[in-house]
Amino acid sequence: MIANLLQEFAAPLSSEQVNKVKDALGDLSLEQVNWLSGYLAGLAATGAAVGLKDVSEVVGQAQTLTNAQSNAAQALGAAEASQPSVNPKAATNKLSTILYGSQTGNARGVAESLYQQLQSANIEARLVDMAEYNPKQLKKEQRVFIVVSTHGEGEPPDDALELHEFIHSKKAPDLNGKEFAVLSLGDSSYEYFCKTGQDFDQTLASLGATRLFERVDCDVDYQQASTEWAESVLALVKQSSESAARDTHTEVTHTEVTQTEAKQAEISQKGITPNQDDESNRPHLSVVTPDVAGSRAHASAVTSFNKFNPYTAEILDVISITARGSSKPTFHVEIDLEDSGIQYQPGDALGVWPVNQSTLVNETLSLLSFTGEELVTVEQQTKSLKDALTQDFELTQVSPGFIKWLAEQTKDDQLIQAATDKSMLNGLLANSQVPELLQSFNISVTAEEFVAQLRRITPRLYSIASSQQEVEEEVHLTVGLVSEQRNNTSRNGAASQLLSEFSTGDMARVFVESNKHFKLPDDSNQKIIMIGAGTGIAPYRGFIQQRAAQSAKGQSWLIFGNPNFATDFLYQIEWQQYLKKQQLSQIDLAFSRDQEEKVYVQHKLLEHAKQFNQWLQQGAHIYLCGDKDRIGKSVEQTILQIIASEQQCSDEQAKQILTDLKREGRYQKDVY
Amino acid sequence: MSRTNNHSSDSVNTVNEKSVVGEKSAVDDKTVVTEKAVSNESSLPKGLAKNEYIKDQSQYLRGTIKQSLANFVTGEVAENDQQLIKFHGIYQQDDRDLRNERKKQKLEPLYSFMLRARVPAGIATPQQWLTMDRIASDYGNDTIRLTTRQAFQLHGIIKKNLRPTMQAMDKVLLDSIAACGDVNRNVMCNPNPVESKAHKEVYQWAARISEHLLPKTKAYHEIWLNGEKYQADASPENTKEPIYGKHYLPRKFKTVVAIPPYNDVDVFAHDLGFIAIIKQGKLLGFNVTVGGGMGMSHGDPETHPRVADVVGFCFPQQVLAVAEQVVKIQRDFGNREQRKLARFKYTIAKHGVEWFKQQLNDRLGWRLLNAQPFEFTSNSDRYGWIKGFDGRWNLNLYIENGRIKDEGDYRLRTGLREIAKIHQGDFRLTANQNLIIAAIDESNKAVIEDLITQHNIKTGDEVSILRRHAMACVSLPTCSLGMAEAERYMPSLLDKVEQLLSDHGLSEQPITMRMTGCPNGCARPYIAEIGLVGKGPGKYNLFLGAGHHGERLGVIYRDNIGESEILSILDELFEQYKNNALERESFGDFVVRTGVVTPSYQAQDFHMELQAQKAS
Repeated sequence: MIANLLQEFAAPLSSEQVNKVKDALGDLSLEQVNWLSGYLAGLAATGAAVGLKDVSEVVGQAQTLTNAQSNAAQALGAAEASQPSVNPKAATNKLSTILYGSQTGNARGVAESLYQQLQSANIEARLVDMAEYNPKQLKKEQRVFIVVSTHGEGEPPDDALELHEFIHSKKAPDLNGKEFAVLSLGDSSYEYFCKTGQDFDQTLASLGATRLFERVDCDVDYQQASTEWAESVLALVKQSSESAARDTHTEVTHTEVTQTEAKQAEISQKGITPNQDDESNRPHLSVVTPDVAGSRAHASAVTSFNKFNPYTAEILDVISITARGSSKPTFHVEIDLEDSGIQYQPGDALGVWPVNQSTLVNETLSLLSFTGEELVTVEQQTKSLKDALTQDFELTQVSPGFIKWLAEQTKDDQLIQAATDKSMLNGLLANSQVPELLQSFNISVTAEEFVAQLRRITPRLYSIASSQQEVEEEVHLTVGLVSEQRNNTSRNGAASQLLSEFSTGDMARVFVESNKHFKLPDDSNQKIIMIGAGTGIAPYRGFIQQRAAQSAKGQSWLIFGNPNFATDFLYQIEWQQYLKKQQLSQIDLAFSRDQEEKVYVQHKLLEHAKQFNQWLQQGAHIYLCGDKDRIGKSVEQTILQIIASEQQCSDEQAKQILTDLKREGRYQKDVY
Repeated sequence: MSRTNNHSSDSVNTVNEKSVVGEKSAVDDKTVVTEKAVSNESSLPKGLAKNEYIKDQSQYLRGTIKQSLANFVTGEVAENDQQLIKFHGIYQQDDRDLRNERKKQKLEPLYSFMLRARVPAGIATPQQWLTMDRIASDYGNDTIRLTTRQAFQLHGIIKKNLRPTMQAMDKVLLDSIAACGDVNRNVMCNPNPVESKAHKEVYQWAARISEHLLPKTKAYHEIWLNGEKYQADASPENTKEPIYGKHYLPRKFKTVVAIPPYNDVDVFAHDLGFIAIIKQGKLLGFNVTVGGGMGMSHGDPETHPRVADVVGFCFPQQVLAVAEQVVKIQRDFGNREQRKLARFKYTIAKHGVEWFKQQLNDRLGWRLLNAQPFEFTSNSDRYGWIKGFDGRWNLNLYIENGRIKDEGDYRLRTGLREIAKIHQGDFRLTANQNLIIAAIDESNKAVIEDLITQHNIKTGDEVSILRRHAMACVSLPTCSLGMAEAERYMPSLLDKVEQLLSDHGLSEQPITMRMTGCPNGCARPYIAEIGLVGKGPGKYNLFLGAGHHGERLGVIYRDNIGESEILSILDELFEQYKNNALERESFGDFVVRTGVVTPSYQAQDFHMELQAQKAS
């Protein structure tokens, strides 16, 4: 049958070639043929790279496959079958570059995990943070895997800004012959869900690059989708590298493939990402990027604790650090890392896995007439609905999917409208917790069906407010209580509620997320300007603790804003002490509600424009931390304005100056 | 910037010191200065009280107040400036209820300032009333406190609002110069306008004394009123303080003018007093009193209250000279080593009255005449509507604890604001923390009566006789000296004492009852028939036996007792009083006559431990 088809369609082939092909294919299984089709397509796509001059030679290679790797091919074929439509042109040995743009560390985590899997499979690859990536390099790439998150109003993470801008600019190169695939991370409760990933996906394609497979958009519970995506990548890359490897040497062993198989099985079963402690299993490292080995930032991640293997830490103290009457209740939380060995640097974040309040869980259960004893399966574990709602699913946040489901269940006009009307939907997402939406309806649903509509719970990240040089085996957080009074009920953020209600001795599951883009200058003589509002003051407490412990000579300037002096001057006594000891050189304060006209940190910056520019020209590092909309945008605008006016340059030049500062690591932001 | 930083460091220091020390050391009678605090530049000898060096270095009360105001990192002013701002009528305070809580919150104490406006003789125009009312809302804690010394007090003003507050006051010719500090303070005078034309003359002399003894430095204008215009001729070198000199007085100095038969100003409780001698509606002159004072310290037998001595008589035209020379005697002979012993009463006690008379005569170059006879019959106010000699009406309101505020249906503050908008006469603050709406035309009387009714304002008839004769100081949470509650607690205690009196059928018997949160005696508890002086939380020293008109000091009867003991003691004494009192015998006189307490006119009258020693 094969021969007939070949004769029918294969006009370019001589009859001799047809016979050879027939011979080669004769006893291959269906899976093997499937695999080979992709391989051949890949060869065709990049013929020059593998010197595809002699067709017979090629077919000869293909022949070797038949008696060597059928097991491997089967395994890979199986993996492939579960994947989104794979472009069959992919199979060649190309250097893969994993590029990630991460704000909170999730995208980086996925990218690192993929990189490790590739390494374990002995496949050459590079892992590069977009922030450190020279966009001009793009045209030299062969195959690029992009993992990128989206923030705010569809904006790229800071680290991805430059590359994102570049590919949309006139300088963007022709990417014909390049291959790519995109994994985008986002939060479907935002209007521009996964927009940055979409941008990369569409723009790279429009620049001529070949999409290896469809983009995958992940919601906040990205774990499963990203694992599947990584499996697709792994299978595809392995496929091509193995066939290419066979070109020169065929010693890819059966055992290695089995290892990979086993690992994949583990991943899909437990839903965990392999840790770095797998390193001992690796035959050797390929290209080592500074991101993974040796970097200071990564000192944090050396311990075995991570996001999916959090450390259960004891709460030492929870203190309200805003006074009575504050409009922004804020808590200081001290957590004991004891002998966990967890290390962090000022500027890093602490992830906290929230647990839902029992009142919220009970409210949800009773609205659906559940007892809580119903059994549900979460990651192949059977547990009570009550436990699942407490630990595994978000009740304080709802997804668009949940609203659509609820609309279908209830046929409620408003919900149906919300399901299609973006702005209505966003309003609902921003202001509803799960029980609030259930309140008005009488829904009959099984426990399994119900939890299937809920998001998986995700850890909340808090900028660390301490330095280990000062607090040693403790970690401190500054937590703003997310709380709103709606319909006579307090609706609170899951983690902030948890943290604020903790008392000494309670336990929390935590892990460190390093943030190498928010770090003190290596040179402690360097000046620093710390701009923050609200809980954005947290990393600066860590910075100053660190600098005080090191007796750093560099001057430091804190510009802080919050509503009221009397109630909201976070860590007031400590700053006074640092000023007294001259460990903090200067402080400027913007208390927005202490006078009729609102005064924000950017106003304080403008007041000190000359000094700000002077410090800048003396090499100061600038830090920005706080609410993205209120601090991120307006302060950056003000900084640009100051640069333009003080350095008497155009807005464009000011932008360039700031971009350069960013590249030098002298302008760092931690906005959320 | 470095200047601000350095400065903030100073104040930070204070934060910590304050939070560590207990309540007792918060009393401003601080100890002798240490070597460290003595400035090298000082011309003063060593060993003086710390405040002496602060005054010495202050460039006539300027200090570093301007820098303190500019320091936005803290709500307080630098430590030395905390002493100097008193001369400008301001005390730094903090909400002591919140002190520990805020420390845990990594926040400094909730600092605010009490501002005392100087109101000579307690007379304010409706426009001034409206201004104080407005700034109480704009900058204060929404209440006005009428003080026992006829001043307005605003509480809860934060540092950055001090200047706007004082500038608003300045627009209606009010100031807080020398309302506190080591100078002569607001001169009090019986504000009762009803008696005669002569009374008006007396007020005028009170106001003149107040002006005459004011410090002459322009620091107040420079610092608070954007007074750059004053600077040209007001450099410290050019500023002379002809009366006070560079170091001002060793301690505060209080002057009053009394008009018999009313001793509402408690003339015997003050450093310097003038008792107006009026005959047939004509002001003849004044008897002069010196050396009275209330303050003492628990456990320090050297300290005690003292009743003033009457030292002679002067004619009206001589009043300013007398006042000036008395102040100068205190300036030169007052104790500058120990602030606790620096009041004029100790100077008189130490040197004797005869020595003082000699000093005064020498300085005046003439002798005081012999004191003229006078009689006091009351030291409380006369409540309700009273028609004056000029045919106009006066309404004396009862103001509990002198606090002007709205509380539920009792809308005192709003009502007074409405009255001030239409009132043609003036407002008079009494020495008992009450208020007289004075000089109301017949045509306006009905309107004001309506407003009083509408706002449920109390004119005195509604409250018990006991309450009309009761007084409490501010104390907790704002006053930094308070050791026990006073203003916040007194009303509930009065309820219970009223019940006792009623049980014994004594409700109509006027008895003076006063409470202070510390022994400094702002509400003059030592001359109340029932005096309660705060010792610790919920604990008071009980003084008994004072004269009903403030002519005799009480004697300590029990120390460190709580409410139940206070009530059981009073219960028993009221029983005896009801059964055994002579006709028209006051409660104070009764307990002395029957030996419940026996005045010795010595320190043991005020210190329980000395009585115990004597007994043992």
